[in-house]
Amino acid sequence: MPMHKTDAFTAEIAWTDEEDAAMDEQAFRVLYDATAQPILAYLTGVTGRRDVADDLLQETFCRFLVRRPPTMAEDGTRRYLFRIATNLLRDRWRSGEDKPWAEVAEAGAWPDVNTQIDVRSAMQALKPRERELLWLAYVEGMSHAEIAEAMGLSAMSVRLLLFRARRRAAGLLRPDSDEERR
Amino acid sequence: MKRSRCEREIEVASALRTGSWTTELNDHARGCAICAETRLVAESLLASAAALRVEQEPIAADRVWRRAQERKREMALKRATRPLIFMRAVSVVCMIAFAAWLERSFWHFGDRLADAGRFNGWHAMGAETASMGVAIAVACIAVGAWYLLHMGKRADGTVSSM
Repeated sequence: MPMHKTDAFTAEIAWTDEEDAAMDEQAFRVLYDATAQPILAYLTGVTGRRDVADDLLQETFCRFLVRRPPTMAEDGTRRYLFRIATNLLRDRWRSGEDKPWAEVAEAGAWPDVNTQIDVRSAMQALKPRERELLWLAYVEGMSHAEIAEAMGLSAMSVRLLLFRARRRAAGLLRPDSDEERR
Repeated sequence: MKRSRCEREIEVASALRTGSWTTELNDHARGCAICAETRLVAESLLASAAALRVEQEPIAADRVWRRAQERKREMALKRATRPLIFMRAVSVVCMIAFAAWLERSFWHFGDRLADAGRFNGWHAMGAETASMGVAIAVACIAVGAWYLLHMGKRADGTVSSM
């Protein structure tokens, strides 16, 4: 590609981009294929909105690419991505951008509509942090230490908060239980 | 006192995720209130996650890649223009300092020589002001020329290595 010497700044920028593009795009595709779907499910499950989840997914990967952390193991990268996504969710809750959940359109891939409505209602009734904790623990199978790292909490706090969140969620999913009446 | 934790809770959650559910674990989960609770919540969330993964297709990887590249370019441009912004700020500070010095000199010489009744302030400060102005101009040109030469050399190196 022809380049003018006088355009000093652009030359430097273009060089960096060319180098990155040649080395990383393929690796990024592999990483994206392996991690985008669980992260999108996490973001949708916690926010209840597909449009918001799509935006946050893009932002998660953009931040990951821009920061370019040192090479880490596949599992470490996955946790790092969940950490970015969780931070973005936290920024969103803090700025009061908690849009109402989207309506249930159809059962889709759910076994039945009632289960779908129950789970959505329970998730909606929980606090954002409780939703994140439960999802990371039970869907992603993260340990308390990993959740603590992703959410910026101590492992002891995670244990306690997870216990409370689980109890609350169980009460909401089983409305006739003792927990719900309390 | 009610228990808040069961040592097999993690095992139950893991079994639900991986499908490695044993009869023994099943018996335990039936008898343990905490594990039963864990099972109820985890099963619901896993069903939700499975449905979402089937229903939703993430946006194309190249779209995300392009957006990240644009972001990188913007950040690099911002980094590259930072010295210019700094130089502009420095020149503003220099101008303000020079104006302050000019005003101070004018009054100082004006007062002193007006007493002698021979000059007014503008005439008296002429030589000193001019030399100061020339010195500042030369310094600014030197700094600017050095900066451009330095950036030019870096650009040469970059272009030749492509």
